[in-house]
Amino acid sequence: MRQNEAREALALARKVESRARSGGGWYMGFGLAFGAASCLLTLTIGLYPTPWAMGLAMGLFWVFLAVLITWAVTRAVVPRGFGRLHGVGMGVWGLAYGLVLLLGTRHFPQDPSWWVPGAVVTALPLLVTGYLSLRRSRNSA
Amino acid sequence: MNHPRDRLDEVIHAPVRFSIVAALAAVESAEFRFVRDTVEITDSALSKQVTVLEKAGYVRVHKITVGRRARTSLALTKEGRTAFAEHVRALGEIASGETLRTPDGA
Repeated sequence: MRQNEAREALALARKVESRARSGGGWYMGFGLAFGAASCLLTLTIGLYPTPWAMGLAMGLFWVFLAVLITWAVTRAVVPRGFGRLHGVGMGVWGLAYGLVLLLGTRHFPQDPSWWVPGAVVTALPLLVTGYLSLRRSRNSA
Repeated sequence: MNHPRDRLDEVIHAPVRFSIVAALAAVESAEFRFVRDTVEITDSALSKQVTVLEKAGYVRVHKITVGRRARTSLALTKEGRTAFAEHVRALGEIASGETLRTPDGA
């Protein structure tokens, strides 16, 4: 193999890799949607802690989550390192969501100064993992 | 002397297979149709090349049914990733001219 042929092969590999990697960009959308839903759920539970409001918010959240997961599993590409990235993101989300709810219901009932930033905190984990995945999908190998 | 071209992987070296492996190296897994469109080949050509890669132990084929749709997912195995990385490394050495120069430039 000649030098120029090797260069052409490498250029082709970069082009194909870049095209394939861009197929994993959907995870940013997943992170945004999940983050927004988590934010709304936390705000509703924290600021309107009536049984019907909480029930409605939880119901809508689970329906939305089911739709989101169905959409995600029908994507054509699973981004590189997705399992670990998403696992860490969901773990951190669970921890953040649990802490915001636990501390908020005990010490800051219906206090917007706790629940608004708390809701934003619960939105962050999957926004960050989505962003990391997107950044990885834009960077070349 | 060990010329990098001796380290080129014969299975991956074929242009279409090289493109398929390059596409799969960039992702965890991808659907058959996505790889077909990315590499710009026909279903039958991709199917044929995937069989070769699967036999070499470089590609894993996974068939699942989501709803009413049957989906075929392709992924590189650990051996496939290692072979591709080594192949690209050898190409890089050839491209940079880090090798002994032969009269024909090969």
